[in-house]
Amino acid sequence: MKKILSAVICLVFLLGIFTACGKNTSNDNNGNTETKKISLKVWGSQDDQEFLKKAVETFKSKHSSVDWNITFAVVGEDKAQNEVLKDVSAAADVFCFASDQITELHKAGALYRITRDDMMVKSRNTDESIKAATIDNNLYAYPSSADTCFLYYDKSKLTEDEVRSLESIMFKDLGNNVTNFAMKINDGWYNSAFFLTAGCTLFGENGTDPTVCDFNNENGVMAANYMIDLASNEKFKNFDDAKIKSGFASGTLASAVSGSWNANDIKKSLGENFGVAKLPTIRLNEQDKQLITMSNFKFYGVNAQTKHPEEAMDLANYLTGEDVQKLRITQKSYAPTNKMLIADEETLNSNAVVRALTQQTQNSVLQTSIPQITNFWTPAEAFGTGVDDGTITKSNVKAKLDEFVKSILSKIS
Amino acid sequence: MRKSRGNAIVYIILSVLGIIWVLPILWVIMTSFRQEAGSFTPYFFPKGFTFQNYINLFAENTTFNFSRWFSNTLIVSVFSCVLSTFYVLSVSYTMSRLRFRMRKKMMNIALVLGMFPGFMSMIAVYYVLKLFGISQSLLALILVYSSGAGLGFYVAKGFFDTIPKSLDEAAMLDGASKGMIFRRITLPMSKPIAIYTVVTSFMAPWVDYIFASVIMGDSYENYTVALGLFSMLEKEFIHSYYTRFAAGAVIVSIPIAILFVLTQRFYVQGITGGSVKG
Amino acid sequence: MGNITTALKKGDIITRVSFLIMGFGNLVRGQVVKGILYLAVEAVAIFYFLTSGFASISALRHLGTNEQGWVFDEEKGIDVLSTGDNSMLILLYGVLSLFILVAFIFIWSANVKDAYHVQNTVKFGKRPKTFREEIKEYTDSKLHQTLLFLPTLGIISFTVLPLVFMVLIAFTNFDRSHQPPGKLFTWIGLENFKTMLSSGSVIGKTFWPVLGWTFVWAIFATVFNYVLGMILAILINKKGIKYKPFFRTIFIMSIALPQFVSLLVMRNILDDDGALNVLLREAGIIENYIPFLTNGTMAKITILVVNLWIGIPYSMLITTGILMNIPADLYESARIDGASAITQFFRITLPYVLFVTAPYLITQFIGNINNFNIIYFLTKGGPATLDYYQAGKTDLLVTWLYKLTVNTKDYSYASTIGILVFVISAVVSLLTYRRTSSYKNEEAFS
Repeated sequence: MKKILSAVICLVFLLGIFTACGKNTSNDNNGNTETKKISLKVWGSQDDQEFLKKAVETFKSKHSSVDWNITFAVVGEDKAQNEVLKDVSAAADVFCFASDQITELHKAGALYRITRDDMMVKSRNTDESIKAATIDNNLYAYPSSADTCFLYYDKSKLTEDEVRSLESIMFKDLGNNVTNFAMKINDGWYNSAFFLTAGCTLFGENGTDPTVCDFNNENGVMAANYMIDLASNEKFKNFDDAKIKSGFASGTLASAVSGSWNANDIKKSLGENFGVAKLPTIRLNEQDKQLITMSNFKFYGVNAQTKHPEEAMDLANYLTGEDVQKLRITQKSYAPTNKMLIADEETLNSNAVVRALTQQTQNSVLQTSIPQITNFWTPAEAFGTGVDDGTITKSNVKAKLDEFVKSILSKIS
Repeated sequence: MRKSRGNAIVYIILSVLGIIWVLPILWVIMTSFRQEAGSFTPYFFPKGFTFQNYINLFAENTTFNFSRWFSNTLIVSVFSCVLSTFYVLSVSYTMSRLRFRMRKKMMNIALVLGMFPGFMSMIAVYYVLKLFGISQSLLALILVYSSGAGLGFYVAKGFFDTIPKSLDEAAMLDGASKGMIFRRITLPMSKPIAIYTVVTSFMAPWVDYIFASVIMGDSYENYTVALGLFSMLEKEFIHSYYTRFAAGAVIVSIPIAILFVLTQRFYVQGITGGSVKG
Repeated sequence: MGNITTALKKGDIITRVSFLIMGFGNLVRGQVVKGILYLAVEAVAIFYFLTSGFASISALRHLGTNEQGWVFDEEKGIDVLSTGDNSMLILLYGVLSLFILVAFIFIWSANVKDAYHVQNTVKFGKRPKTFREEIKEYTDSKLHQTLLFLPTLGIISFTVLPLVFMVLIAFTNFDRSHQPPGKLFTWIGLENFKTMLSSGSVIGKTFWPVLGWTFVWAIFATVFNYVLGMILAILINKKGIKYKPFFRTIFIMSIALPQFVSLLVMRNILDDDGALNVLLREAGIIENYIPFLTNGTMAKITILVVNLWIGIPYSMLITTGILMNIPADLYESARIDGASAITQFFRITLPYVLFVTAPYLITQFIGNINNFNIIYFLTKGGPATLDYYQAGKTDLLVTWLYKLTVNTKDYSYASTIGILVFVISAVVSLLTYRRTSSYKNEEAFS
């Protein structure tokens, strides 16, 4: 009955296919013209755009023999995996991503194996960052910065000495409306610190065994009990980033755990009283122990399907090189992965946030990048929520921890 | 006496409910004029009021290009609303007035298709658009929003069912073709349902977030307001931009609210199948 | 089919040649333009199927065999990518080719019927229609084809094709460990359904409770909105109440606001430290915050209440129209019999409104099963719980489906859930829709 209808459907689809094929062939001819014309796309987070554009301008001027056409788009490092995996061929040639995404990105065939100047990349960055960027002895990413959480505090409420231990932070009486200490206790990125500090490990000693997690042993119970005590204290609040910033802005918060991305906002609202430090110690088993956090890196990767792998690698290499990392320290408060810069006390000390961040990084465990980590976040959120709303108590904590671990280690089928 | 007391109770109920109903809206408006930044404040009423959030929304477009997003959304909704209206009216008229083989079958197929959750296939929609070479474009959004409209013909068909068929027959005797009947008789009589369709399809692009986010991906320039406003709530921005988000929300809501209030009469007539003279 | 066998049996040699050379019958018997069109379709189709179509269809058997890898490139001095098969694109192109094949068979059989038809026309001594005459038919006797053409095209390319593709995904192992283009995925039959429905597996333990809450939510949300909206309409329309349009406008403000705006704002207002808690604390009503969205049970109630705020105005608008149409003498006689207002509501108003709006009610129910926005924007499915896999206490099947596709890329499980949601919706609608008056009326009408 629908002759014409189906005829046109046929034609439209065919046209679609032909144009799609046609495009591919026409694009390949660009390489052989006189001055090489290279088009690349770069992804970075929204607040990094300006910085990236400036850095890329410098890169262009250093490689002026090429006719560059470099475009930018907004995809933050936390969203890179989702956006890249949606359609690898449409993703940027060079993109920023968080190091825990590397295994999934690699498995989906989205990362170009880096064999150009790889020795240089390996030698100038810290061993930990290179280890995290390496899969089966092949390098797949360029380390750009190290990341973890640290302590922000209001100097008008707490002194430098007081923020050395969580006990002394909580002990101080700052009045009824003021929260002494806040963190997002229902987020694995933050609450894993209690377990790691108590000596527990996620996915074994090396963080690579998807069948092991000892958060439910004696130390885990100790850590969980500490969390329960903390959460039930009225001077503690479970705050996310937005509330932490609002709290500092309205003067109702004395200290909080967060990351460097909030530095500018908090600095603006605290002004003179802006203080940062590595995380405090906590008292476990009669001992003061430095809080150990999870850390990761920001990486730059090259798209496996890029048309210009060499140029893309040069660009990624430049964007993670010493010069750009140094600029990032001063302008963006990013902690470096470059060995020279880490050794350069003067540069580090020029930015208090970077100093605190680097100190905390030295007290951190690298977040594993095995795929099983995807299963960690939701249970960790659930456990933290339970602690926060009081459904997890000291009497049922062991059973809840068992469930927690079981969820982390669960396999779908 | 009893009656007036009854009415007094009704007035009280309606007023209390009315306050509850507009309170969240007043809160957004209040927040959009708030001077202090931040998504949470430990007090209810702002400490200062300013018009700056609205000015910044349009003046500062390096990070968030609100005026661009606004015009994108407007373009998409105008075109998709024209197409959708045409689709819906065509399909519903056909199903209601014309008799042909497969009619019943096609109606049932449409019903079945409507029951699959749309989110399931969005990634496939993205690849189909890519096949046509139009992914990440406003055209893609227009096509996706309007193409689904053909399935939502049931309400309009119910409306057409109530228009007396004798009119068609009289015209047919005068020698009018079916095409002429559709244009000259049925369309003019279906003002309520046409307006209902126009309003609902005009509103869709302002409201949709999920499909737009999958289709647009990194194409920031082609964002719609929903995507754009949502990106102001990312963890890096929520503190500094919440009041501006509220201002954007108010600006987006104004045209839609006006449109909806003005056409609510047709909305009722359309959806209740024309049997109601509102 | 019947027509085609008749054409084969009774057709003359020209008609039979049309089986192989499309448009031959039309060409020979004077319908040149049409004949050429048929012939062109055949030429394009043959070219397409020989160059890529058949290959795409046959690749559907295994969905790709060649995995992506790296080879050393002498000239560039680096390892370069050797592209492998992309299972997802193979599946998509395969499905597309099948669609084109079906469309082609349609045209082919139309061509055969046409050839036979024109043979008969000539045999009875009539003149075959000219091309212009046939075009003209599309504004009259074939108007339905003209009107349905574009909408159907849109639906097929953006609804049916993607849907077929995703339904097929449910029978593959396209999960996070088989992501194209790096890895291949392949057919695994009904495995995903077994995993999903068995109560022992991690994902099964999530499926059943989430399904339960989806039902509870859909039933309560639909019924509450409907009944309360009707009551509100009755109150506003009560005799002697003034400012009716004013009240109506106040209440529809909540739907005039775009939903993502109102819901995101609600999320903020109802937060533990949100405006409502602050307001209540400032007023001295409460001391500690109320966990509107952070306690599982509380969050479910909150969602239902917020949904009232959004949903009541719709049903108020709709019932307002219908209420005006209820014959007044029904109430008159009821009042004479001494029926109270409540009895009148249950005996007259409710049955009458139900009668007219039954299809609307069903659409609402299905819509609520698939109500993505309210959950996603209000709670994101939270609060999280240790009992579920990748889902929170307030997640519906659709939001869970979304999380599985976007967060963990478990497409195969997501599409399995999608199919199950479809089955549920279909059963519910089939059971109810066929009994409603409008469905039967439609029958009477034709």
